[in-house]
Amino acid sequence: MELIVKIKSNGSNPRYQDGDVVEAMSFDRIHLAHAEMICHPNNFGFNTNGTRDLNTLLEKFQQATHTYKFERLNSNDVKRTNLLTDEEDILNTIPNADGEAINAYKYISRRLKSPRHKIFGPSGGEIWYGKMRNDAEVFIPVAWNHIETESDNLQSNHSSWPFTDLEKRHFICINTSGRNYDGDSFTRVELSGGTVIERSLPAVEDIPEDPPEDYDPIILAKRRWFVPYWDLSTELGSSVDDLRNPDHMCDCRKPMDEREHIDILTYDKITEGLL
Amino acid sequence: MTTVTKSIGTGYGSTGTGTVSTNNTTTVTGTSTSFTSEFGSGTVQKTIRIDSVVYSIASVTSDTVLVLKAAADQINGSLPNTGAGEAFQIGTREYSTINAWEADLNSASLYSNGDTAVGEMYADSTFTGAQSTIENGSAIGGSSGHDLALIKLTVHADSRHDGTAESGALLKPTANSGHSMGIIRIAVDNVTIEWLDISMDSLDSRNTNFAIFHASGGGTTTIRNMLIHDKGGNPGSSGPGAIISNSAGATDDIRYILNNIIYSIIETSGDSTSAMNMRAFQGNLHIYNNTIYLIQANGGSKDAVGIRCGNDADTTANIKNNIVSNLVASDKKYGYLIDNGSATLNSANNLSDDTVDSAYSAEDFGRSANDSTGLTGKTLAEISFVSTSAGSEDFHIDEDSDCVDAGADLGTTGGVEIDINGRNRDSNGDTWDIGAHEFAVDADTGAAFIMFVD
Repeated sequence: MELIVKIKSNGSNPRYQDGDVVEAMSFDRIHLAHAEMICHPNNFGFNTNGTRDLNTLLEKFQQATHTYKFERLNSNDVKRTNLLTDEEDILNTIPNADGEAINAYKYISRRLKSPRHKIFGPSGGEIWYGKMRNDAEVFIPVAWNHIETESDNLQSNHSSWPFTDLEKRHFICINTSGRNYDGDSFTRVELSGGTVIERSLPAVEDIPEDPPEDYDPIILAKRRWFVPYWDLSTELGSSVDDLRNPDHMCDCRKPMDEREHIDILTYDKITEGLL
Repeated sequence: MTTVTKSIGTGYGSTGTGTVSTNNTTTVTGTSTSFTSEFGSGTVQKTIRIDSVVYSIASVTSDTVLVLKAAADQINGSLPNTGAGEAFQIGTREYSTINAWEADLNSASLYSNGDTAVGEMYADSTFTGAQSTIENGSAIGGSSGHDLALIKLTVHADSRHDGTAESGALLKPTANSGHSMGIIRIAVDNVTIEWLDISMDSLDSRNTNFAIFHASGGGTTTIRNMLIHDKGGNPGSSGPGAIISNSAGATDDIRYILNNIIYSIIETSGDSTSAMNMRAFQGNLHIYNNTIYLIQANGGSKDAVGIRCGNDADTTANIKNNIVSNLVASDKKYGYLIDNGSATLNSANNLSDDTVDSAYSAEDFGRSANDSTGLTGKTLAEISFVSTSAGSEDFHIDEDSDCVDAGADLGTTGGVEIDINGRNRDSNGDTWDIGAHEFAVDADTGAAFIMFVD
């Protein structure tokens, strides 16, 4: 997990407090972002039809990451395959029982006007993919397998969030880990799921059992979790002055075998009695 | 009083090739590069990506020569391989997430009193942040009264959607935002959100119920040219909605909701569902040229809502040129509903389809408004969307749609003239259509690259 942390805050009652966790990135999120950049349509060309070639990394990535495959069969019909269930149906301009219809020619023509389109295959037999999958833990390894097979990129070289230069100056960029214990010894492990997500959420009052129609949650603090970086110079490997200097670029991320445990770096304001 | 634009994304700027060499220090010699203008000269706080790995720069010698920091000062503790023909990328975006951009809006080193802050998103990769509250931009640098004039979250022209899902900058959260928090929560005055594609498809088992939520503190806003879609499941005690306001605002606040496409907002466990529910807002609403399709409630007394507003007598609701279609509910199908009979309604040229209850149609608005310009009871065939097929939706209209040339000319109010494709209806002299898309013969017909021949 990687974190971007607020340094300093302004005003008498700032929304962000010094040390608040602004955003947290899981390993999946990091790997997905890099995979999408490598497989961005801008990195691939067009064939003489103006479509994209089949069996390219771009197409394999689309197939690995999407729920539906659409194949144009003729001037009117489109075959839709659910790639998760292998269910197939035929769509055309006549609505099906669910009211679904498509004008294939109009649909494809409009997509092809975009320089970032993802329409593949021959004229008249175009293929495209729809609705990005939601099971990242399943599709990301498949997508990266394609990337490593079809390009020189290695997943292991793409395990850090692409924090920007400005972020490294205005915030603190850190990473952390969990631990799997075997007796007194432990191995460091990546963090995922709720552990990551909750780190960058606000502290909100408990929702009443039967909230009114116009219920607006009361925000106790813009962020529930914080990193007391002013006490963690040794762990972060930077002086407080450097961390607070907006002209100094600090990247406090470490290799996995050197990362601090999440409980050493992040603290819950509610547990700490601050809210 | 300047406009300060900051890029948001995970990508890099320009690319190039060069030679990496070592002679006490590691030097990159670029081919036809402009390092000085990209980074500045002398000692800099910037990075360069060589063969996909990020390296910190010590100094820039000239437009074609820069020096890297020592290995010990590099993030991964090493330096790139030496040799010619190394591919590199320079110039990161300024922020990698919406939240990082928002968290910096009070920075006095970036903004001054009265500035307009623009966050310009790029479709480098999917934005997956669960929740963003836009509320900074006041007390800049800690100085009371130093406030931004406008906060705009937009998408760079090269990264905008083409009117269909996943074709441009995409915000697709994968985790709980918190119930009634909103994926994007607006809690400050003068905010514009535009051109973003918000997919709620990963949130079927999450407590996220609202895409864009106007909270306490939210005042004048503009929401335009957005795609908001694919919410399913049961988010909890309140049903889902795309654009919602639970804040009254001030009577002189103005909210523009323009040229948005909202579809497939579905509740599966005993709640009502709304595309737009602005009923709490008491100011001036301009809801123009939106397209709404498939809003589905669940439960015996639960309602499907297209556009609802005006619970306060002070509200002025201007509602024109909208499409509301395919409402599904076992109770009310509110195409258009003004809650308070004393609220002011200025309506024209709206459309409701044959799923909408007649009392809440584009003619009657739940108050027997008897707007003779409204088109009611239309079938999907008469509206004629390009595609209503799940996974490949396209709510552009066809040339034979009843919506073509059936709208009112709304001038340039709040930017309403810019349709979902970026076409300027006003400068092109178009006869206005109903809905988010302006069908234009020159732009919408004819083969792009391909004609199919059986």
